[in-house]
Amino acid sequence: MLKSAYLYAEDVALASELCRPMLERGMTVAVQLGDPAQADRLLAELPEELGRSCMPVIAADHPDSIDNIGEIVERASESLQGLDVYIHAASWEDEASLLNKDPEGFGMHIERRLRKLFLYCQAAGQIMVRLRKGQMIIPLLSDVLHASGFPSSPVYNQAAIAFVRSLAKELSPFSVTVNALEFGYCRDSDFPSSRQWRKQFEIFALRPHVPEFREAAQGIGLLLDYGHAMSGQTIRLGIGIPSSTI
Amino acid sequence: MGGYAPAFAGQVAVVTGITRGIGRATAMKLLAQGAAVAGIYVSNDEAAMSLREAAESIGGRVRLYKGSVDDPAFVRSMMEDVYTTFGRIDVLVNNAGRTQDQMALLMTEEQWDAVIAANVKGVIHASQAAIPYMARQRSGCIVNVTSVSGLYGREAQTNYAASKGALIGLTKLFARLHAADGIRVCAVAPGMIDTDMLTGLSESKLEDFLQHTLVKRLGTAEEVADAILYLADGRSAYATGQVLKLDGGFLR
Repeated sequence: MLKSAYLYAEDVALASELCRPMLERGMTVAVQLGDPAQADRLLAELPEELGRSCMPVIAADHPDSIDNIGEIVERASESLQGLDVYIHAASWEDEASLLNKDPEGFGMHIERRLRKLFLYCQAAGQIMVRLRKGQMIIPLLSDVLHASGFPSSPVYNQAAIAFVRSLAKELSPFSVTVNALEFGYCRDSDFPSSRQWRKQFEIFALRPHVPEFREAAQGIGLLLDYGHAMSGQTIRLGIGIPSSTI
Repeated sequence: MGGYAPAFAGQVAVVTGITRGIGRATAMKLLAQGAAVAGIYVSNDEAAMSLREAAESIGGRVRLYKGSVDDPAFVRSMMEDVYTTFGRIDVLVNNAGRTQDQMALLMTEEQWDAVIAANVKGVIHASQAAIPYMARQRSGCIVNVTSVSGLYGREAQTNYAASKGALIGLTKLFARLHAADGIRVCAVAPGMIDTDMLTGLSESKLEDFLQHTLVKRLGTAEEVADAILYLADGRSAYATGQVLKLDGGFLR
C-alpha cells in the first residue's frame, strides 16, 4: 500500500490536481513549491480534509546542487516516514514562445530544466534504492497538441522520456520503477462542457470527449495501482493522441 | 548529352564534429557529391590535417574551424565566415557529441552538465547561427545526429540519452518553426556504429548488444553518412521533423 509521496511542482494548479488523487487515497504528500504564497494557494484549493495530509515544502532559496536537493528530499522523506512515490512535475511551457522571446537564453533554460529533473530523480532514487521499493512518475503534456493552441515542450518531453527509459533500466534491480505520464487534450474547469472543444480536436479522433484536467489527473491512479509492475513506459492519457516519440 | 550532376554540386555544407567517425564520413561523401564543406572540430589537429589531405585528394573544397559548439560566439562567427567565403549555407549536420557514462545515482553534476552542454546547447547554437542564412535563401536542411539511446534509453547513459532525446525534440521544434522558411529539419538515430565512441566498451556489452540486433553486426560510419545525405538532399524534400533509425534492427 502506498503511503507517502513527494511532489516537485512548478505550478500550483498542476500541483493541486496531481496531489489530489493521492490525498484521496489516504496518502501523505509533500509538495515542493517555489514560495510560501504558492503553498497557501495550494492549501486553499484543497478541501480541508485533504489539506491536512498535504505538507508544503518551500525550497526557493536553495541552489540546484546535488547536496542541497538531496538534503531537501531526504528531510521530507524523514517527515513522511518513507518515500513510495516521487513525482517530478515541471511546468508545461511553450518552447516555441520561449525560443522566440529569448533565443540566446533558450539553451540555458533547457539545461536548467533537465538538470532539475536529473538532480531530483537522483535524490529520490537514492532513498528508494535504500528502501528497495518506490515509483517515480514524470508527468508531461503531449507535445503534438500545439496546433490546437496547447503549450508544447518537445525538447523537454523527449529528453525526459529518454531519461525515464534509461533510469528505469538502472533502477529495476532495486524494485524502483520509473514512468512518464503523458496527458492529452484536457480543458480548464471554467469551460462548462467539452462540446466547445470537440470539433477543434478532431484531428486525432472524431469529436473526442475532452475531460477537465481534474478528471484527466485521476489517470495517475493507473500508475499508483500498477506502476510497481511497469517501468520505462510512457503512459498516454488521451483519446487518439499518437505517441510523441518518433 | 548532359553529364551526371553530383547531388550537392554548388551547395555548401557545415558539419560539426567533422574530423572523426560519422562526421568525417559525412564530409567525405558530401565532398564527393560536389558540396563545399566547412567543419568544426574541437582539438584533434592531426585528424583535421588528415581530413584536409583526403578532401584535397578528391579535389574537394574544405574549410576547418577549431573550436567548441558550446561557445555561441565562436559558432556565430564561424557561420558568418562560411557564408562570406562560400556565399551560402545549404546543409548543417549537427554531429558533434560526447559521452560521459555513469550510473545515474553515482553521476556527478559535472558529468551531467558536460554532456548536456555539448550535445544540446551545441546543437541549439549551431542551428540558431545557420538558420538566418538558410532563411535568407528560402532553403536549407539541418540533419541532427541523435542516437537510439535518445529513443530507447540506455543504462549508465541518463545524461547522454536525455541529451539525444532533447535533440529529437529540437528536431521537431525547429522543423515546425522553420518549415515556412523553406528549411527542413530531420535526424538520424544510429545504433552501435563502429567508431571511436566504442572505445572502452567491454566485449560482453558488445556481444549483448549484437544479440539484440537483427543484423548481428555493427553499423559503419559510411552507412550513417549515406542516410544523412539522403535526408539532406532533394530526394527527401517532403520529410521534415522526422527521425530515421539506423540501428540494424535493435530490439531494446
